[in-house]
Amino acid sequence: MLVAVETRSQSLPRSRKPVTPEREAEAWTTASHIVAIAERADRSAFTLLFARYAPRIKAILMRRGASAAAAEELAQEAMLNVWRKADSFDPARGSAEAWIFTIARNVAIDARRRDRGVPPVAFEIEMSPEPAPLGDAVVEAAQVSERLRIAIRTLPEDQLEVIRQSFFEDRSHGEIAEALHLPLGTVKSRLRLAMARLRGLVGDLK
Amino acid sequence: MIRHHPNEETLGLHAFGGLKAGARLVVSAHIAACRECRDAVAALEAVAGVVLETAETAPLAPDALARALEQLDAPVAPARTPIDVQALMDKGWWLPAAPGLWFKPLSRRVDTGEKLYLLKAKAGVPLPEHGHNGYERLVVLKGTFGDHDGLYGPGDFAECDESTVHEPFAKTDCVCLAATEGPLRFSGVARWVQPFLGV
Ligand SMILES: [Zn+2]
Repeated sequence: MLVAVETRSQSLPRSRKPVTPEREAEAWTTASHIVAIAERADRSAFTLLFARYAPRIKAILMRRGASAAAAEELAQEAMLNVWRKADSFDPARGSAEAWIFTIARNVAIDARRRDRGVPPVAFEIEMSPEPAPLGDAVVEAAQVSERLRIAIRTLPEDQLEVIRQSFFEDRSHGEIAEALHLPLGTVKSRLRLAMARLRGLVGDLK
Repeated sequence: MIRHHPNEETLGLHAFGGLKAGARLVVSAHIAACRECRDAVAALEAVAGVVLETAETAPLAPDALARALEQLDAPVAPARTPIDVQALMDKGWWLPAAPGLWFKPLSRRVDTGEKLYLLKAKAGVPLPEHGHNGYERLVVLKGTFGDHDGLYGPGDFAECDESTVHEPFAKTDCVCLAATEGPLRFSGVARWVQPFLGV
């Protein structure tokens, strides 16, 4: 098996359960803009996505310590990659916003790697093929997103902050602890709690 | 069959892009081989997507959109050719560390001590035991090793921190990809090789 690293992981399985019409409409909009770019290089769809996501990506990067100028450059690059890679988005495999997140994340990682001269690496793992999963439970990506939206609103702010702090930057838990003036153990346990809660929720839907 | 996985924290940092480059590669290698962790990371990416969607916004430069639109049709620089670990495993030099034990450094940052390397051991040879300074993650690429927690085969992942006690040894000839953050203190047979690796 040839392994190309730094690709997007496989996404959530699908379901037949309905989502609320308004949420469905919204999720469909971001997804459909990406599809419009993939299918017909639709510049007005790109303009709408840019207006929505570039300022958010910039804000997240600045919150993590990037200068306004650097954050703006990376947000630009992320949105350009949304344009270039639109045909790799599969609406059946995950939410549109999760896909945009992974594009932005990979841009931030690549920028760091360039800065530090760490080369990309490809490798192979020799192993027997995985057994096919038994009867995949199916969940609609949009429905997962909706449940997560609600769950994230109910997360305590301290847990959410630790999650935000671990976005995009290779800051160690020790460095996060320092930035938030917290003991290391507290950072670790907050992150663990938040992860367990959010992942449990996604797991419940499967 | 995969028996050993990254912990929840590590998967979270991986999904959010918060791991150092070397650690990221080691986790990526495991995830490529492990459906369970692939699903877990996909779930965390869904979480990240929602955090992005609900994030605050920062105002962009007035010409930001115009600049982006201008670049849409610009040619894209070709991606760098990745290092082929498979080729490195089979040929090229290895740094002998002890009888039956070799290293091959892939990258290293002098300032932080962050390091990515291959580790090769002959069956029955003890692997280097890492000290209490830094954090190490490794994935088995070939062969099997064992420690207190059982056997590790291709795709299996091991991570250790200050609290970990393990006495790993190669069960068969094996090759691992390993990443460290911060300087390490090897004990036992591999101690003398440290100056050469600069760890
Ligand atoms: Zn796994």
